[in-house]
This record gives sequence, C-alpha cells and structure tokens, in this order.
Amino acid sequence: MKIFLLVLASMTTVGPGLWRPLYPAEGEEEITVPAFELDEAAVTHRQFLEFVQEHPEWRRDNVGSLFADEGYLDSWAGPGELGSSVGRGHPVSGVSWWAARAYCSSRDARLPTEAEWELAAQASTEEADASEDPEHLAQILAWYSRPGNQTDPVAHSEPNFWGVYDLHGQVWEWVDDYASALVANDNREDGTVDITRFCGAGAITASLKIDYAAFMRIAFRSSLQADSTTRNLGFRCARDLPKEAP
Amino acid sequence: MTSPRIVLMLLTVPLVLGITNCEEQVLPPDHVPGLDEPVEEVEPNEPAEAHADPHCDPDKEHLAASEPILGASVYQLDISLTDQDGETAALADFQGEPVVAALIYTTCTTACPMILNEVESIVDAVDEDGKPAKIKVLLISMDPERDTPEALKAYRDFHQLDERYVLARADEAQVREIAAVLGTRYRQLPSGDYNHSPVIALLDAQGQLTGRMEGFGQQRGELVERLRDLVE
Repeated sequence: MKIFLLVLASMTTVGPGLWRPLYPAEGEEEITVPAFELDEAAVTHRQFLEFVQEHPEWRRDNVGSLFADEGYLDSWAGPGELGSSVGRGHPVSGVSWWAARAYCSSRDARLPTEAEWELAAQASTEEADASEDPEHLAQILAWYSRPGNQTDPVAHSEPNFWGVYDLHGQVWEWVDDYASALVANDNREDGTVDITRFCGAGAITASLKIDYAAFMRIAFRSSLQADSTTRNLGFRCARDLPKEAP
Repeated sequence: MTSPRIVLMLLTVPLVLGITNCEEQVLPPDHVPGLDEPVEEVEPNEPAEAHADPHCDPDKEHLAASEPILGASVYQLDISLTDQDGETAALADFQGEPVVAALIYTTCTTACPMILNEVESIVDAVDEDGKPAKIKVLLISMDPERDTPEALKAYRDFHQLDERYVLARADEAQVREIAAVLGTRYRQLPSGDYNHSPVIALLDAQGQLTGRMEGFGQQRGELVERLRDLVE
C-alpha cells in the first residue's frame, strides 16, 4: 500500500523532446518541448476530495457557475463525500479547467501544456516517440471500444517510457492551453480548414494521418469550455524543472 | 491563481426584486430553497437558438452594482490590468457599468481591426443623439510581450478612441483566464502573431456574460439591443 501511495504523489521527468502538432502552423512542424515534471498518475477522487476539504470554495455547493458547470463532481454522493460508488483511487472526473488549475496551484504546480502532454503521451512502454508505431496506436484506439465511464485505479497498468501511467486508457485530461486547439478564424494561411467546426474535415492537412487518437483529442479539446465537466475528463499536474543553480 | 469568492453570502442576503430564472442558475446547486426563490417568473425573450452559445445566458438580468459579486461574474477573477497610461487596476474595478470586452493585439492586421470596427459600430449604435452611453469598452491584449502601455496608447490614439475605451494588458496566465471567460480561443504562432477567434462579449454591471458574438456582423443587432437594455 505504501508503494501505491508513493506512486500517487510523485512526479517524473519527461523530455526534452520533439512534438509534431497534428495541424502545424508554418514553422511549427516540430516543437521542442523542454524537460518538465509530470504527475506519474492522474489525480484521484481521493486526492481531489482532500483538496475540496482544504479549499471549501471548490465544493460543488460553493463553486460559482463561472468556474464549473452543473456536472461538477456530480458523481460524488455529496459535496464533501465520495460515496460507495466512486472509486477513491480512480482518476477524478467531472472537474472543470478552473478547478483543475486550482488543484495544481495548491500543489505549487500547474496543468501541463498541450505540447507537454502530447510529448508524454506519444511514448509507449519502450519508446519515447511511438507516434508511428502501429501497435502503440492500436492500443490507444482499443480504449475507444470501452465504455467511457469505466475506469481502473490509477497506475494500474504499465508505465510508459517516461514512467507515466494511464495517459491513454482511463480518462481524457485537461491541458492548460486547451483553447489553443485549434482556431482558424484569423488564419492567414487560409486554404487550411475550419477544423473547430468540422471535426476531422482537415485530415488532408494533418501531419500524421494514421494517428486517429490525436484527431479525437483535438476534436475533444476544441469542444471544451473552461467550465466544462464530463465524467470522462480528469487531469494531472505538471511543473517546471527546478532551475539549476548558476 | 484565481480563487472564486464564495457565493454563500447569496444564501443569506435576500435578493432584490426582479430576480428571474437566470439568477437561480448562478446559485450553488445545493442552495437552501426559500431564501432566494424567484419573486417573479419571466419568460425568456430570446429565441431558443440564442441560448446555444454555452458562454452566454442572455436571460440573466443584472442586479444593482452594489450587490455582492455573483457566482457567474467575471469579477471573481483576481486579475490585474495595466492600461494604456501605465495605470494598474483590477478587472473587478469595472463593476458597475456594462462593459463591451474583447481580446485583440495591436500588431494584428487582419481580424483585430475588424473586431474594433464591430465594437465601435455597437457602441455608436447605443449612443443616442451623440450622447455617449454610460458603458466601458475593455480591449485586452493577448500579446502582453509586445503590447506595452506605450503601444496600447499609440493604438488608442491612432484609432481616436474616446475615454470609454480602455486598452489594457495582463500577464500571460491572466490573459488565458480572461480568454477562458470570454470564450476566446487563441494560439501564438512561431511568427509571434496569433490565431484567435474574433469574440466580442458583453458584460452586465455585475460582470455576468450576457451577450457574445463570434464572427462578424451576424449577431451585431442582437448585441446592440442587449447593450441598450443594460444601459437603460
């Protein structure tokens, strides 16, 4: 049990590495992502319960509607209790961007950026970049055949190359810049497509057409608002690496 | 990091007359019934499709400026703005008057001038007989690195904007929060420019988002009408 709790609380270093956005702007075909720290596991219901107990302004009966829609933590039995049907060690869901940010801030951390999250998530158990590995991609896609409300305890499966668990296969996860995916209204490169409105319509311009899961993540993020909550959307926290002493 | 000001006070303060269903929606889901029941049921005036925008509940009536900050108010955000004169103010200082708000950046040559044109045409339409309506226009830069107060002032002067127009900058994390409440999507490009959605938002005196248009022209009349209602 001790080992399990250590996994829940710890971060691992991810990167540095290169991430190729699915819909790159000119000059953005490869983004260098500096090394950063990322939670090994997604934040759990138990951890989030402790957070709202310490920060009651984030209880579902206190939070302002600006910060979370009506689905906020609605799987819990009450504003301050999980109930028997919620797995304490399972990834928390039903959390808005604001609430996820506040949780990470309370740990002197932040949400990962999209580039950081995607860099971590393109690793398989063996490779840092498995984004063109058919077996890896097939494993990710297999998740989509599973009902969205089924989760396992975090860190239940094998960690990836970086030592990170469950980036695929449990819940979708917030990134800090969710609203950067993707806007074309002021795109002077036009000739590109309005993928915020027509999911998948831009596949022809995508950098890696075999990565179907990446299309789905972009489509999902494009649909989010900051107050959005769903029962299959959770998060984990990230942090800059400590600066080395001069 | 922003922390919401708790709206529990709403449970203990009887609200003013004229509360409609929309105020019910800003209360916590488990609020104590009875203290804040609507006094008067008001049918929504807008067609159903006007509610499609998830950012905006046009049925929200605004309360007097002296009322506590509501759970839906953007003035819960702890955001520090620096204006074109280098003066610092809190976003919440805008409470008390309707605000037309948008994210722009001054070196933007495509959508931003069109956003400004739209904003000016909305404001002009609300001004009656040349008498300026009591509103504020808040244009916040999404490019805090390049949009210094001097750059903001030059932009304001170039476009001959009157004193109701405030050009302001905030730090990057706070710009992200402002964009989140206005529903503006944006991304910096390697060139330093931005891709962004052209959003114009309307806040009532309490900071509740009561109108919003994305794109140009189509919803302008609706926003003008709503702003007129708020001014009156």
